[in-house]
Amino acid sequence: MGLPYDIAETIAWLREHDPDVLAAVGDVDRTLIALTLAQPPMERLRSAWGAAATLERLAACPRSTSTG
Amino acid sequence: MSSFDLDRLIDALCDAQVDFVIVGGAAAVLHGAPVTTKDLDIVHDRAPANVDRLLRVLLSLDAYNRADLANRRLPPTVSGLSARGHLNLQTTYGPLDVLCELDDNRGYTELLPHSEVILAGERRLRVLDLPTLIAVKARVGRPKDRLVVPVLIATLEEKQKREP
Repeated sequence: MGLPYDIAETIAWLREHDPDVLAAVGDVDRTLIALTLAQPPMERLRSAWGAAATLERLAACPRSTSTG
Repeated sequence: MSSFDLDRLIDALCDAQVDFVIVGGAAAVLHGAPVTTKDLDIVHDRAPANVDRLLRVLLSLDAYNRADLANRRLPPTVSGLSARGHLNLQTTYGPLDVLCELDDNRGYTELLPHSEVILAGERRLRVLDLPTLIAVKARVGRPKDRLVVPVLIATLEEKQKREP
């Protein structure tokens, strides 16, 4: 399978096949990107794994039920 | 989630002079995308000498197939590393997905021109470039990939704004 790796072609492909994904680009919080870009590459990786581990721990917690 | 020592895992691969490209979530993060990742995905060169180097380091890290439902702790083999599939391994330092090819059937040789070197401390890590990562994830179309694609595109735009 030969895929083009040019970003313009990918954008065109998304416009045709998955426009919702393209529309969501406008909703991305750019401040988070700026904060991540400010970190050295390995620190980005450590932070990303730490966040994944935290999310996994939270998901494993017993859920409390609302008594309303 | 098991403990993960990314630095040691990457050090072990680099010290063994294994030729590989980092792909997947770790590649996205190294490019500056604010996403999470819980393992390291690599596509390795399947040249016999490189497979030997990779196998040696994997065995030294007690790597085994973590996706085996029977939990037989099967170690990787030369034939598995030389084929076309994915090996989801657990190592001493954490989970490592060793991919012979991406979902679009491209291996190390085909991906090399679409990779870039990212300096990480004293290491020179070869990472799939962002436009290629976006193209691959967009076309795979799994829900988890569709969630990440907008973030990757926005990251690419932000990086392009910062380029001189």
